[in-house]
Amino acid sequence: MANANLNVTFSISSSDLFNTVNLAKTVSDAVVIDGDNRQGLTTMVTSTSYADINVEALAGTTQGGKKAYVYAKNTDATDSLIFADDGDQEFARLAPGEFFFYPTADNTKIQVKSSSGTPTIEFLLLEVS
Amino acid sequence: MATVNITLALSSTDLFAKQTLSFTETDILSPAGDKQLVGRVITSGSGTKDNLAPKALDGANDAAYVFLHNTSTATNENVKIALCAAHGTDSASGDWFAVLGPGEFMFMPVGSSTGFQDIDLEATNGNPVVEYVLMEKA
Repeated sequence: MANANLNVTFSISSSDLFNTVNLAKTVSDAVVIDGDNRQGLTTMVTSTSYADINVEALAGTTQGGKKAYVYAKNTDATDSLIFADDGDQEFARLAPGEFFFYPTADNTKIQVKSSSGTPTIEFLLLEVS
Repeated sequence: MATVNITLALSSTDLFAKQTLSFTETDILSPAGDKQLVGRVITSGSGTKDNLAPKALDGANDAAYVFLHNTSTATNENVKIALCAAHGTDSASGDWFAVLGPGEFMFMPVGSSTGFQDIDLEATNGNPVVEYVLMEKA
């Protein structure tokens, strides 16, 4: 599979988080996607039991290994999504409407479950070799 | 309560032969915890972990919004990200879950029902500078 480029831009701003300074920052990056597990935008209904969002075990060797860029959003209006690594250690919680983007590493899988109910996760996972 | 606006845009024309990727997500956050930080840290180098929070993250599920940016341009200056079970102590060796290569960044609402109290960073090589925003949710 030919290498691909993913363009990523993130902006954060606030005029009232601090009294004395305003927060305004935009960062951009173009990352190379060269792994063999390339999952496009996907939606999945979750439950209160963990399910993997990666189809194959993450297995690359770049930067410590098992790296992949992951976007996820909780599209539900009520319930939260809970994320855990391959050792069942929770590391993130998405309240309704929240999203994240990060480069996962050192884990063969990413698991997700709901706090209750069956909220839908929207996600993208792009492995690095 | 403060409001923080965030926007994420992802795009690619060559990830898939039959599909172009292009979308933008926005959110308005309302962090209300007792720790709101903006800062930069020169990491201490491989073998030493640098904690971010000045005191233990707490509130429901110890949740916080975190933005991290590895500002290094050196090829091998990666930064490993981990959660610490207790404030003032290093994360366990297998607790890192993300790595930021040079120029890379991440945004995540971290949190755990089983408890953690801090985030630490460890450079794989050199002393890359990491800029960060850490906003406790409640």
